Amino acid sequence: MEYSFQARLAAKVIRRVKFILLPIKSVYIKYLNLSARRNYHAWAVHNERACFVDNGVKTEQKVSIVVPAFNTDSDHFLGMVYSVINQHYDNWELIIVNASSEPASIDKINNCTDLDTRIKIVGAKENISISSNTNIGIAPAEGDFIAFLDHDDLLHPCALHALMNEQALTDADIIYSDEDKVTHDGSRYYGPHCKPGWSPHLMENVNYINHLTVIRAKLVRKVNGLNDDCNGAQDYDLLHRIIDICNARVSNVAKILYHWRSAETSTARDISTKTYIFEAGKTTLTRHLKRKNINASVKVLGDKPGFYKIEYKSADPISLIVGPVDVFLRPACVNWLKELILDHENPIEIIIEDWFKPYAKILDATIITCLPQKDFLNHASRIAKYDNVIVFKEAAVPIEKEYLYELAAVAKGINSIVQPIIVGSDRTIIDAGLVESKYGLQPLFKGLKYGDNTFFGNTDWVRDIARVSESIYAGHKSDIRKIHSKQKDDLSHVVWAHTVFETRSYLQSNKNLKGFNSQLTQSMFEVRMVATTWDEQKDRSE
Amino acid sequence: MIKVAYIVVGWNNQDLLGECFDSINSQTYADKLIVYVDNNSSDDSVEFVKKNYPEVKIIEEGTNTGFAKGNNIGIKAALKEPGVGYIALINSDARLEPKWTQQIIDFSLLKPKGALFQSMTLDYYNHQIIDSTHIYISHNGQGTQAGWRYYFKSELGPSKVFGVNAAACMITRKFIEAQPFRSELFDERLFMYLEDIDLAARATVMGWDNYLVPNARAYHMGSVSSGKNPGFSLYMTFRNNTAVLLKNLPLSILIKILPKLVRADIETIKTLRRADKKAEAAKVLKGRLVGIIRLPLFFGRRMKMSRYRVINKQRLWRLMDKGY
Repeated sequence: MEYSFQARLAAKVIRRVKFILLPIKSVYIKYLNLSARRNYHAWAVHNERACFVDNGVKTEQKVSIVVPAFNTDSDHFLGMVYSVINQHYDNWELIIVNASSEPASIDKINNCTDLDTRIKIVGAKENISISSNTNIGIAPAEGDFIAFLDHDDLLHPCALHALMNEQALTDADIIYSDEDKVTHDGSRYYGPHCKPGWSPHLMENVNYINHLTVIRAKLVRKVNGLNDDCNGAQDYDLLHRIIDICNARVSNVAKILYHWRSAETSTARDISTKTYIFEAGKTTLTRHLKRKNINASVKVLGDKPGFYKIEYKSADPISLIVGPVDVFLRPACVNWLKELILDHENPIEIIIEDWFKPYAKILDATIITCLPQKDFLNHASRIAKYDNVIVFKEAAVPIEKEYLYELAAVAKGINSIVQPIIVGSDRTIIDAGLVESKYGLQPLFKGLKYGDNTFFGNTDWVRDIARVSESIYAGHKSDIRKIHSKQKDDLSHVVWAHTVFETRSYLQSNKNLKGFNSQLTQSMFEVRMVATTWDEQKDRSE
Repeated sequence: MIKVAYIVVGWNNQDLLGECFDSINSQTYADKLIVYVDNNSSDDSVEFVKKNYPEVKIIEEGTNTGFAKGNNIGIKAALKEPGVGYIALINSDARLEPKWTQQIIDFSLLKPKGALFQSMTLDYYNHQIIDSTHIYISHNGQGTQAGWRYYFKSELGPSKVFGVNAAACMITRKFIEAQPFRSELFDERLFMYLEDIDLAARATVMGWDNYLVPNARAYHMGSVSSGKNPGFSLYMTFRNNTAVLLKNLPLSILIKILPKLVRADIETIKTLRRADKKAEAAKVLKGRLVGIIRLPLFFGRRMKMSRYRVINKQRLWRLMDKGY
């Protein structure tokens, strides 16, 4: 292709100046993120006054709010009580389990019945554990639904009404909402968490539902309330049991309705102060896997408190399908394949077009070549020998060698289409699947750094996505065929964020490869995900 | 059934009284007692009420005692009647919807510690516009009417507020009996203006709860009795403001708001002068100065109030932010 003199000159200049521009740009992006965080408080104050009530929907269900209290700070406690009293929805009852030991604190809590006749105080004889205290509160609850609240947290005035409206529309058993944090003295809102729609695979990694959750009381009673040997992760355990045993329908309200106060001892500020929580979470997940008959082990992630990884093990052989490659990229493709399957343990089979025949000997794998044809991928997935298939339409190598096998094992374990996160050399996410938004399908977290903290949670979380972006994906042979034949399917698509594939370093080492991943590399520096700012929260992804 | 006593204080506004009593009589809540306190009207208000509304209990004052004393006299008389559990204060320029009493009482039965209740008070001439949702002392020390001239949205829920507007409000008997200054509910030394702010601040710092009940509606014309003389109202507002702040608020909050108060006063005077209202600006200054001179009158009451003060200071400061 012929370029004009001016274009070549401009490219030359840009190549020189890029080293100065890129750091400036990264600083600017950091500044944008910071200012979005700073502006959040103003938005939250506005949001606190907004009304989310849909008067067209009629709900008469009673909500019981259960609060275990133990020697609480008077100001924080009253704040919680008044935030419930100010609820727009009036069919509620507040059950406070008074397990305090200090006389002043006991009196303070008992005096709360003066504030509203719908407040009930239940006395616990002694402070045994948070689970048993909460169970004492569940017993006298008369409501159709139960909400759990911490003794110092705050509710949005429309919180219950918005959740019950959603319940009336979807007839769900569990409804959860977004949340944010509020400083110790309640003066500033920060750190919002806009949650995705119901994602069972994310739930196995972290208790993202957390607050505020309204659960059908019948189901809570069916599973005998909270479990006493999971203290610290008792709500995580309860949710898993209800969803596993009762097949509960889960729905969410994408509005910030809950303010989590970051008190000194609360987990909002620093979760790592309470190590017993992780063990409880591990127990919870192990039981959950047992109920589901999944053969996997649970690992506590040390660097990320509160997070768990489910490790699927499999020594099954895998078939790799490599998509069509342009003529001038073929030498690079050979290098990439060599790097990809270096020192592999399990048997590997590669299905590729027949241009590869001359290079077949240099690779230590079974090579199946077939003639280039219109529906090559469909054909290839039909002739694949093994059940576990990984399709490569783009060149990328896993940053840890075993990620290739892990990807296949995960796809087999959770029985769905799984794709890894593809990053550049500077850990900028190039591809993490597609999610639904107001504007149709959008790339998830494209252009953000891997491990970044956004208002939608971190970018390195496992997520249920609307569709894999079909660059690299793994799955069972028959499921892959469904994807290729463009049928409407009921497969679940997951981006397994623990496996990271890198494309950038490979491109740098091979100058010839320019253009092979051109679409991806160009977009890398362009797009910042718009939905990560607070004012776009309606455009949020799934 | 708990009896509700409606108290109407009138001064030279016979033309408004008929409609006001009609709206009280149309209440669905049956058990009621109406007290009319006449502040030495020069028109034939008393004869008019006697003739058209024979069930109304009339109390005639020899002199114009002001809003505060007039209401106190009415309340004292009403509480002597057996079974009166609620006092409703109705301005002569306020109108009630028929369900007003019923809805407020239904709500107040849920709140054992409730002192003052206010309905959504809308503009009499345009029902789309809010006259007041509640009142509060803002962070710059000024008594403020909330929601004034805002468009009315029907989705508002009941909420705890700093205080209520005395144009149409309900007071529980429990709260009146818990007053530190014997049966004196409104401070008579204030004469007129900001008595409701004083009452609201007192209820709040004593740990009682005031509520806005948005289902109930009332309509208010606004400043009919004294709106003809804006200089006087400014003078009284700023004179009483000084006293109300000193009487009720804890010292730490007084110190916190003092610089903001001075700044807000200067802004007010500047704004009035810019609008070429030099006489009114002078009234503001005069009101503030007279208020400061009158401060020793209220020291005793401040000392007495401080014994009843139970609210957490941070909570009070946050409540003063927007009034809810």
